[in-house]
Amino acid sequence: MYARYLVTALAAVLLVTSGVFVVDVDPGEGPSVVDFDDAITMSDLTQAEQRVVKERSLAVPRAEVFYSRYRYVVGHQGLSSLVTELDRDGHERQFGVPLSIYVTDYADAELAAGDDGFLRVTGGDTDWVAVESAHFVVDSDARHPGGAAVVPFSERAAAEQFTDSFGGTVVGWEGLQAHSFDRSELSLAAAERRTTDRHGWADTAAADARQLRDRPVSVVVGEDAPTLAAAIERAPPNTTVVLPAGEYHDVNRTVRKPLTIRGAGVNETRLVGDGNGSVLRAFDARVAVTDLSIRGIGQQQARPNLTVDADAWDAQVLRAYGYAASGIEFDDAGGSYVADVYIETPTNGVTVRYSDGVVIEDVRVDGETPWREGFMSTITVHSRMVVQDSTFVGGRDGVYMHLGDGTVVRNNSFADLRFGVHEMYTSGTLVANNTATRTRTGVVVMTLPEDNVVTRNHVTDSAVGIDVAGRASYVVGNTLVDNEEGLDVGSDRSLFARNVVVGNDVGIRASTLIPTNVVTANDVVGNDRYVSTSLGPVRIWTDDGAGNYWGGAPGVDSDRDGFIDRPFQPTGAVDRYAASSPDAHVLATSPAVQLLRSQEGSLPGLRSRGVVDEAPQVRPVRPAAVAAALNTSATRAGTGVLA
Amino acid sequence: MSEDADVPAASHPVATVDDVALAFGDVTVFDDVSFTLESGTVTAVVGPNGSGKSTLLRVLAGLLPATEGSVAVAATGDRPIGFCPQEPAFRSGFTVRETLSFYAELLADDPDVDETLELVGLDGVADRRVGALSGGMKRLLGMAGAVLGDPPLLVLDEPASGLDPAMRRHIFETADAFADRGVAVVLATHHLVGAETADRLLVLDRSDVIADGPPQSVIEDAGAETLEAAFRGMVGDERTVRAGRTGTDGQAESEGSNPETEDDA
Amino acid sequence: MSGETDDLFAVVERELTIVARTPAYIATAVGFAAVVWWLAYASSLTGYVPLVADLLTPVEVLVPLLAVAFGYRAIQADAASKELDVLRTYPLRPRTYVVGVFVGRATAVLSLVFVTLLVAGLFVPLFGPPANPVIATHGGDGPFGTYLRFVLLATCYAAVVLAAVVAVSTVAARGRTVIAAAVGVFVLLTVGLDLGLVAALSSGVVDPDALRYLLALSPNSAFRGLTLALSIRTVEAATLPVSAVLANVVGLALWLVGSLVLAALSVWSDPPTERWQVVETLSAGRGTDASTDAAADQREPAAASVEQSVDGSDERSGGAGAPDGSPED
Repeated sequence: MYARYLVTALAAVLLVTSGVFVVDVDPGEGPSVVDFDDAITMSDLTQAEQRVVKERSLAVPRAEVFYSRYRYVVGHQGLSSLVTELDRDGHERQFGVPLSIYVTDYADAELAAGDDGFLRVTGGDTDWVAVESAHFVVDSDARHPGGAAVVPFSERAAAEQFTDSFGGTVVGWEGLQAHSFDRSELSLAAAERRTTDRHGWADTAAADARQLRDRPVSVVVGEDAPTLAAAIERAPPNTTVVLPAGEYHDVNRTVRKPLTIRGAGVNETRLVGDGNGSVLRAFDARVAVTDLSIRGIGQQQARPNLTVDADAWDAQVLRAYGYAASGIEFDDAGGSYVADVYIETPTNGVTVRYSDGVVIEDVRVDGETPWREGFMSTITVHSRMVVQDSTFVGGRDGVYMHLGDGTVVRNNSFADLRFGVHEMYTSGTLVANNTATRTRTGVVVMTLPEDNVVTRNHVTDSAVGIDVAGRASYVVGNTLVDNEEGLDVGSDRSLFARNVVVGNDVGIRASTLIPTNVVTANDVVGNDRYVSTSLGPVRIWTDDGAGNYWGGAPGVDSDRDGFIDRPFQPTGAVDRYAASSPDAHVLATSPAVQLLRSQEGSLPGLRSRGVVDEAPQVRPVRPAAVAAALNTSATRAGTGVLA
Repeated sequence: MSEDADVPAASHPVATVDDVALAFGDVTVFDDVSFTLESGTVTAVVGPNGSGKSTLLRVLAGLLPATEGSVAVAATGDRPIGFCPQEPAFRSGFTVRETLSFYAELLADDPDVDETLELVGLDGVADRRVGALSGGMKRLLGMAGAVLGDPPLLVLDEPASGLDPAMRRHIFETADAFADRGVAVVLATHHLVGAETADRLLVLDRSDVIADGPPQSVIEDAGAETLEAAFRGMVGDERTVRAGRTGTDGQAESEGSNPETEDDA
Repeated sequence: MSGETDDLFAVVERELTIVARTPAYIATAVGFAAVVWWLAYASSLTGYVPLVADLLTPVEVLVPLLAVAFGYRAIQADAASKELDVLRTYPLRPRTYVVGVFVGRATAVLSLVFVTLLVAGLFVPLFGPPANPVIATHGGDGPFGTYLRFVLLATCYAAVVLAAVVAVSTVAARGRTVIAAAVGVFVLLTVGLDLGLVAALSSGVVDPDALRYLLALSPNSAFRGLTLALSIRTVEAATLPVSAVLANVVGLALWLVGSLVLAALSVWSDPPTERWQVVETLSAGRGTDASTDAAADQREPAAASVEQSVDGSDERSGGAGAPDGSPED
């Protein structure tokens, strides 16, 4: 009679477990707010601005969002990113819908603006309030370093009281969502517009600087003055000091008036320092140095004991890099100019501090090899400069930017460095038409800035081609060949488009936890692996129905719309071998693989590690560039080439 | 057990078949068949293939509704009828004892399975899997399944066809043993030697009972020397398959496919 | 001892023994578990809700397949071996037999589905990738309860499909087409009904608003609907109305009960009493006389028989309101 026991046991188990239908398993019921530092953050602020917030203890309203299809809690610093992100195309596809949103509640806090105009909590406590119950003050005078502050309160009275001091209007959550915020426009047109604008500025700056070549000659060293020091002393402002061919040891000079110092050519006029400190220093605006070579630069790199007038975090960076011994050192020297100069340096080549509009062109800087012993070939600190048509070989970084917002780096060539272009705390730059080879990273953008454009660069034989962090940035039209890793998609809310990624060990690496980038119209051909991903959700790399070209992607385009009907999963168990093994195509269409693939497509935000392109391109987006890259690629794969 | 069973003092009617007719569509299998079965007797239903032996037995057992007429079975227990189908098959994964025990569980008075196995002579293979039984043993198991719970009427459909003579004899002896317990046994057979050992013959042909009585009187009535001769005299000499009176549906009855040549063994 | 419950469990035990002793069933069970576990292992295992989403479609296909494998021979085999004819001469009600067969097979199938899926759920804590330890996660990937709900729904779905297959095994038992019929019911359940709904929807026969209730008529759509509503929904803010859940539950229940009723009605039926009956005694002499009496007044002996039976030890004949004294009714 074992049947009775079996049936009874099964019935009992089913009955007891059925209790789960009456138990509430809904996670939507108010997940508790987590420690903000543990949330994955999206910010209205760059890291530079965040450092200011931290150092000055400023108030920036925060939000925490719990999504239905995203396992991590998303924190927002500043509410502009909250509203714009919720409204972004494709957002719901990746994240699902917000189950609950909490924002900072300032009802019990005392708020005041400091001398810098930024909002501070001067007393009381902040709390969290559910977004539906919150009242927001918009268009007030309250500001944080990232811009105008939207300030939430749990009580309307408190919000109105705030408007008495700061102005603005009180709106509810729906009103806030209807409020207009600056949204990053992630289109090719937006990238092109920025590129054109910044080229335009650089052209103007360069034309302006070149005028410094036309200053009248006032002193010729050796004829009118015995030494360079005497010549500088004697020459009136806005004239040219000429250094005829020869080697000059009387250097380590400081220029304190607008002068042009012109040699007879890099091979003819040679300034040789005494191995201590910088060879030339320019501490006034519009100083030009042209047609000479510089060597004998001091060894000093960091200046840890220097007193610097800046926020502490900033000062730390300045002491580390900004005052190293240099070939030419500019400070408070806006509009200055370096052209046709050769520098051989164990430390910095050209240092630019607090000097907007400095133009460096047709320069060659040879740094130390290996790079660990060298330093920055050019460095801009708190300055917007132009570096163009120059060559950088050896040393640590070709162009290093610290708070160098708006800097333009174009048409340069970098080789055998750590980084070709290295941006720190710098936004609004243009890095265009450069080539980099044998670097750790061709172009690297760190510290979460915004609105940088990296376009039409060519990086080969490097560990990483281009690695852009931050947000609202544009990585467009670059060519990345034979690197260990072509493109690192490590930013958020940024555009990666029309890049040619050929012959790398890994074509693209997806390294952000929060999948907000637009990755489209790239050509990924002949790499050992298409894509590698770090921990994080499945990313959808298709924008507005257009994906990327994955060399060898299986499938057909039956409706002839230019896109393969079958989604491509460059990280998928079978698709990842599509380029190297034609047999993978046969397996790729099996029902079992289809089943597995359908799994990855659903609930992408709750998956880990993966990329799905829902509309892979049939043909390369830039066929000529791909063909050229394949021709130069030493390691190009035999398959997965152009059809 | 059969040697211990006494012949009941007085036999009594166990089943009556009254003017029963059966037709599949316009094919009449038999018509106006009436007879009564007495307890303690073995009745053999004989007839050529297709004459409706199996069908009649199924109607008698209540497995198939008659088109006309009625059947009444006298019984008081919860099992009025035991039935053994032609070539019975049982789930091969069970042992002989397990198979019968399952059936015993369905009965109210929990009959002794081992006694029944002894009665049919399967006590020696009680623990053998059904799948490993010979054809004859399966028949015996079918008969055991029929007799279990002592129904007053046993209906055995071709219990002996396709068996070797020794096993066939054993089957008929077992049927006799059932009758000795006071049961009315009715069996269909086309094996005339076996049929001759029955208490009563019902010869079925052309949808009717054409002879009814003890084997000897059937032979005498036909004016023949042997039952076989009498049988041939009654149903004709030609080797024929009966397919009902009208129509052409030879598949109406499943026994139509059985070979008849067995009888001559 | 032979109440209806005892008969039921006798049949249940017989079915369970058959399943346990048939290598093909064991192999099928192992195959089912292997496929489910492989699919679960191949999914990303980041949480219970993603696992439910991953397993939903395979379960929709594999469970009917399992039910067909375990159920299509259940009654047909007894019919083919003529054992059904033997069973009929025992005091066993058709419904007891059918329900017993169903419960026996269902015990095997439901246990298999339940345990297999439950074990697959353990893969999440056992083999799932670690969440980033420095970043806070929340319940978006679902608590175990959501997964357990799915497992229970799949188990119920298995019961419903098995009932349908048992019904097919019964109805098709007489012919030799049971395998074709079983494949037919599999196709019907997994795609047929839904394709029909799609066709009805696209041709405008069905109003989209009526879809909710029509979907409940397709067992796998009802199962899917319930899974989405009660398990996966837990990570969606959108709430399915209670009416949809109810409709799906009713749809599944109708399939289950309807299939079993159909099977019980069609497995066998006894001849009508005017053609065949059991009486206490028959008068001696020619049967014609006695049966003429019986035929003249059919109700009399039948009623007498019922009384006699009730007086005796047999509880069955009177127990279920049978119209006559036939013990097999």
